[in-house]
Amino acid sequence: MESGIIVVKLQVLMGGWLSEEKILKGLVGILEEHFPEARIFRPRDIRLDYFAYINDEEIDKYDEWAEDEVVDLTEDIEKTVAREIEADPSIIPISAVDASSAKLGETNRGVISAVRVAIWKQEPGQKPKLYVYGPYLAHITSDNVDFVYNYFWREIFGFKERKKAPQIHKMTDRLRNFFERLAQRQASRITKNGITLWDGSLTGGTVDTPVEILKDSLRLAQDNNTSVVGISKHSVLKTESGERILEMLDREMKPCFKDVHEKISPSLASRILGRVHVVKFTPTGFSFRVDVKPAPNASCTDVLELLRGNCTFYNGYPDPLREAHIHAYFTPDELLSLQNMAIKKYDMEVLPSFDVRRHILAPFG
Amino acid sequence: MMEMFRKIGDEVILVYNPRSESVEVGESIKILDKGHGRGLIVQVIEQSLVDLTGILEDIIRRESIGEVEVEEHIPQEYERYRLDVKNMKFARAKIRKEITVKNGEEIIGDWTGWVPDRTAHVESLDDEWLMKKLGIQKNLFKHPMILGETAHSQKPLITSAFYLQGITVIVGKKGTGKSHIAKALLLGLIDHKGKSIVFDINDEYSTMRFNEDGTKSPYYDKILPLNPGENLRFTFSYIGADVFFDVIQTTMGLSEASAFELRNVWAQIEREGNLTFREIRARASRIGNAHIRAAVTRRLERMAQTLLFADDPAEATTLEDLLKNVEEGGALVINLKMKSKDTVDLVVQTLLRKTEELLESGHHPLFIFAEEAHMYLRETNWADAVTRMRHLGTYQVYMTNTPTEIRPLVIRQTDNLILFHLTESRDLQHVSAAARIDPETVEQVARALPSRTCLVIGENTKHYPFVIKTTPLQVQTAGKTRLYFEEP
Repeated sequence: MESGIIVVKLQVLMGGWLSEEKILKGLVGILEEHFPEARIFRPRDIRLDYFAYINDEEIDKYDEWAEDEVVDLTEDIEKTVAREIEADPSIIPISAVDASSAKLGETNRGVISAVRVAIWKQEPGQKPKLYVYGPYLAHITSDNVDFVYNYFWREIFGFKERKKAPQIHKMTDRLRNFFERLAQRQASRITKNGITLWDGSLTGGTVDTPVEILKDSLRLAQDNNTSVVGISKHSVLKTESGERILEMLDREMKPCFKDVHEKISPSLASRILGRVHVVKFTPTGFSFRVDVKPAPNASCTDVLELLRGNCTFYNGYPDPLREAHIHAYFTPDELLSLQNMAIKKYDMEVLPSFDVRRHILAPFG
Repeated sequence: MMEMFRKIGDEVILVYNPRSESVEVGESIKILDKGHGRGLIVQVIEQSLVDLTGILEDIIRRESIGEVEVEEHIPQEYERYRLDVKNMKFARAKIRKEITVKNGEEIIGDWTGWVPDRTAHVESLDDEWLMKKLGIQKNLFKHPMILGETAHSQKPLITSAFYLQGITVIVGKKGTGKSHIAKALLLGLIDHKGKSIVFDINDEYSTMRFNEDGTKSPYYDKILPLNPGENLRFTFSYIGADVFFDVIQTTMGLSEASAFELRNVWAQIEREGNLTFREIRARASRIGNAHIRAAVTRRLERMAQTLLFADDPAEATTLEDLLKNVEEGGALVINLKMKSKDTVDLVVQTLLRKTEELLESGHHPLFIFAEEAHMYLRETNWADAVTRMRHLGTYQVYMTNTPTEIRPLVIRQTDNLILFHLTESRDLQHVSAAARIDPETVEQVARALPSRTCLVIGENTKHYPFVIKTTPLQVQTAGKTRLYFEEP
């Protein structure tokens, strides 16, 4: 599919010129219309006696993460010199996007999920703005999984061919991914002459994200002279022999980075739509894999310096992305509220929550 | 619907949604396991928000937004559900009684340690039902008196004057309603022909002779206001040597040597049959030792200033005569407001001593209402009050805003406790022994009591703690405080 088709498709969706913002707002209606009736609901077991961080992306996508985020380096970069990041004081717009998903429980027909996405935006001289879409509820069953999946695939992202829908239990994360990609596009559209931050790498051609979707978002950013920076919290760097590199910048007591793009395997590099770096934004913070797609006429170094000059960091992680994450993820009480809402709204009989691990493995499960 | 969550010791935790149900501290709740025909009566002592995990994160998330402009697109109904979970409350309740269902009738008895399961039906309890089960009913009492109205079911809490024949302690902060309920008790006793002596340190009881509109109340002739030095004066012979020397030595600090000299004077005059204040002053002025003479005359001069002593029996009165005025029930209200320490002490000690004598000679029992009694009762009085005098038939009602001043001896012997709002832990710990229930109930409930609302427990409630509101009286009850600023 040609890059650019998606945007056109979005603009003519539902007979009008719809921005990603309007689609994000309108998706609640689409998901409600295609919320098949269910008789029985078994809510997900939510532990309320201790805080459990809930982001099912980490569970649903764990295997795929392992595949997408592991970077095999072709040579040892231990001896390469880290370059210091000077803070560029020029004030520019910054935006950040994150999304979260959670399975609320199972019905006699499928799975009920919740998705939420947040966009954080700070413009020079203005109060930061936070856009939150969701939580939206979706009921995925074997009857509607194909429709819902292809609705996003074809009607929203404009792919011509139908695509085989994943298994129902994978759909919670697929929905999250669709929402997140839409929100990234929205952030690229509303950020001009700045930087937009994504959670995760700029790797395309993954199980849930075709290269075209990524390219289109990046093109929108480029059109707005905006750089895209993808920050991976979970990325793993490995040598060819399989050894994990855990302490690459740990001894560096300054904001610095190493460009490792040339050191990664060509097959992976071809799917990454930016340059891969290992970056430590603050002297005592953590280091992250950072993929950078600079705006036209800018270098990756320029982008990292601008980012350092325009952001505050929390343990080395950019605050705008942290804010987006904070407002996207679900707390246990929210899941309980959403379960209650689903039960009342769709008038379902409730079965007791059940976690087989707690029943058969307790207290070791 | 409210549900039982957990049982810890003698407490249960009930979880409820405040949007659809409300619970108040002091309210009684019935938990009935219909299947087993058993249940519990519990009483809420504390309510709080359920600390679900994630609530803190949720609040921090929202509070940390600060100056950020937020545009949220959420399903309309979600906010309601979110707030429901976020605002979910729990009520901590003490197990008071156990219910057994026999032939369809619910019988209440002491708790055996049994607990219902979580499917038990939980409902707010009508106080009238509870009172009926406890045997607190107007038609069961020969001398019914209304104490107030239960705070939650708004049902009158009736007691019997019978249960006031002991020690009743009324405590609470200033202005919470202590005096009001004491007045209600006094009027109730008068209605049942009881006779009382009121030590009125704020001159607020005699106003009950009048209705709110200023006309004479039905108690006009039954409440006898007595002003020491005016219509309350005693002869020396009536006071007697014991009271006289007790006061002059204990309160006025006359040394033993001087008292010895004065006793000789007193004995001589008494033998001569001329025991008058004038004569004792005249003889005292002739005591040979200058130091003793000065000490004695100074104190007699202070006594004279109280105007409490009359040499002419026609100008004096006796407790016996005063009580004849309230033969059909009534109260002698001794106005102690603005009176000197000497006056208060002489009056109180004389009346207590004379009351004791009267009762020993077979007089009908009397009720004594003592407000801020620590200001005029001595250690010996406290001890006497709860032992000897109580058995002779002097029933006592103590009102105070400084409960720690009530002697532990009295607290331990208390039959009825009426507890208004208190916050100090020390005060609450001190009075909790009087309640004969767990100290936690006293501590938690007393802190949560609004004005004019009190916890009542004792003989008069069959030892079940009820939270009641005082009910208005038809008579004037306000004490008269002189104000410089008339408006806020």
